[in-house]
Amino acid sequence: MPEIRFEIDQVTGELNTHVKGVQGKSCLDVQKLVEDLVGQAQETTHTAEFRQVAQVKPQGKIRQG
Amino acid sequence: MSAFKKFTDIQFRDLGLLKAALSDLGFTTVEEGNQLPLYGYRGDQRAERGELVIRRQHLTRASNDLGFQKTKDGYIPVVSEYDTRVLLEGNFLARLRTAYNLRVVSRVTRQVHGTQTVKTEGNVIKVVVRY
Repeated sequence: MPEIRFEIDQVTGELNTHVKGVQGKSCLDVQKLVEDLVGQAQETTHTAEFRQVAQVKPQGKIRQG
Repeated sequence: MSAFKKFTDIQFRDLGLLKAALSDLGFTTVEEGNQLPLYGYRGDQRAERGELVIRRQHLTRASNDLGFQKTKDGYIPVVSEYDTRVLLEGNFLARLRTAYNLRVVSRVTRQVHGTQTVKTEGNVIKVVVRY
C-alpha cells in the first residue's frame, strides 16, 4: 500500500516528506502535489522504488483487421 | 521604533491554507487587499506593505502590524523585530509554519483519499498517510 510519510519539526516548522511504495512517475505526482503547497523541495533523494517502472497491463484487447 | 523584517526564506504558497493556519493559532481577524500599508505600534505608517495583514490591535499591546507580502513564490511574512521576539513567546513563525504544514498534510490526505496516522516523538509530529 503506498504511503506518504510527513515529519514536521515543531521547533523550526520545517516539513520533510518521504513517499514510499510508489513507483516511477506516480511518485513525482505526489511530490508535485506537496510542492504546489509548500514550494520546491530543497533536497530530493530518489529511492530504488522510484527507478522501477510501473507495469501497466492493457485493459482490453485490440483486434486487428 | 521596531524595524520590520521580510522573511524571504519562508513562503506560504496557498493563501487559503495560510489563513486557516493563522486561524488555528487564534489569529482570526485578518485584512486582505492589495498593497495594504503596515502601521507601527504608535500608528505611524511604515514603508512595508502586505496583501494579508493582521492589525496590531489583534496582537499584543505594544505590537506592530504583521503582514504577508505576495511574491511569485508565495506569501512571505513581514514581521517587526519586536513581534518576532514577543508573539507566541517568540515562536510565532515556527508555530505558523507548523500549523500551515499540518494543513498541507490534511489537504494532501484528502486529495489522495488517504487515511492518517499521527504520532508525536519529541518535537517532531509524524504523520503517515496511506492510500
